[in-house]
Amino acid sequence: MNRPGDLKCTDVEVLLAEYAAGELSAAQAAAVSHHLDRCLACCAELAREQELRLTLESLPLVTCPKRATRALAADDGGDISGAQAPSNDLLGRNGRLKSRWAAAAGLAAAAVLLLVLLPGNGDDLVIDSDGRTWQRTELESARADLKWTLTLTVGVIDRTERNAMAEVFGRKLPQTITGSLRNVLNNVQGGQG
Amino acid sequence: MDKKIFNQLMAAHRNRVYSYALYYLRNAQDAEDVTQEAFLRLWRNGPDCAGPQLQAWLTRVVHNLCIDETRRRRSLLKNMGRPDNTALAALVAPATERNDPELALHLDQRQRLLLDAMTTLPPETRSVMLLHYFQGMKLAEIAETLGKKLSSVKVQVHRARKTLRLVLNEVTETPQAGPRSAKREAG
Repeated sequence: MNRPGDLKCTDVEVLLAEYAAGELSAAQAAAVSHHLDRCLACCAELAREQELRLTLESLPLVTCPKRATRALAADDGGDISGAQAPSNDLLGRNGRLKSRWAAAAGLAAAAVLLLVLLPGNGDDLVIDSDGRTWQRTELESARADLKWTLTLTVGVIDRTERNAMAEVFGRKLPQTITGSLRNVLNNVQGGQG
Repeated sequence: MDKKIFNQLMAAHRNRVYSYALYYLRNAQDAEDVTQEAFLRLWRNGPDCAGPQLQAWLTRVVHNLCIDETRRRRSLLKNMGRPDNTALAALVAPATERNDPELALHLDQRQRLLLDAMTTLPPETRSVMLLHYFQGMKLAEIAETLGKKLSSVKVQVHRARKTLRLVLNEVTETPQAGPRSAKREAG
């Protein structure tokens, strides 16, 4: 039979993390120990807590690649003197977009494609600005792919590159742009959606 | 902030910040981005202090950056309207040993199992778990750093353990193998 002041299983479960870490007061720790002496379910919960602790505590400290902070380290080839904005050196790391210009060029190319793939007048065949004839379904598919690629491109670039692109386009880019293809480009180019 | 002091701070905290972001996001490139952004913020707006206060500030910044990154991934998936697209899923999903062998090198099987399962936890809870178990912060310190009540942090840990119960049972039964034990054997 429980004595007055004895902890219930629900109370003990909430205290187990602190109990295992030795963060409880002596009185609280004694109360938890007293409960554990008589409760197999809570003992099993304590075993899980200890396993969790052991596994996560032993995660190794991973060495940060130098490239991640090179542009910030004044003595490591970078330059942060007077920096109030990200340096250009921050761009183009590790196989992502090489520079703001690469990103801008990609979007500019997409803009050209938009002009090329102007929607037709509702017929089954559509002629683009180069005089090529497209099936409407083909055109729709190409437009969908382009929208998909553009949205993905803007979505996966990191925040530094997005900031750099914002400088190029003169406005902040949203993290993801959805809607019509024209809306995507308007968002990027600063036009009216 | 003085450049020399900044460099010293970066040298002292870089690996800890990167490791936390790596285990939280399970993606080396995103972890690098978060590390870079965190130190950029330190340079621009960092507090004029050192020691525990600075560590708390940096912890809060990295915590927020990791949560932002998680939300960005989710938002990307949601806004695409194509959650079944495997190419996109591979792009935004947490890294595993399949798509990030570099990350897998650091972990043994039990750690991988547990970290994979932790990606199902709510972002705030995942953060609390890593701060407490990996970074060794007391629950009271976490509550103070993140501006939460101690009771809610305790409940988060308790719920996380419940969520991870099945995996923890499996982890308990899994023999320890992988890089750590290999190192031990070699040593």
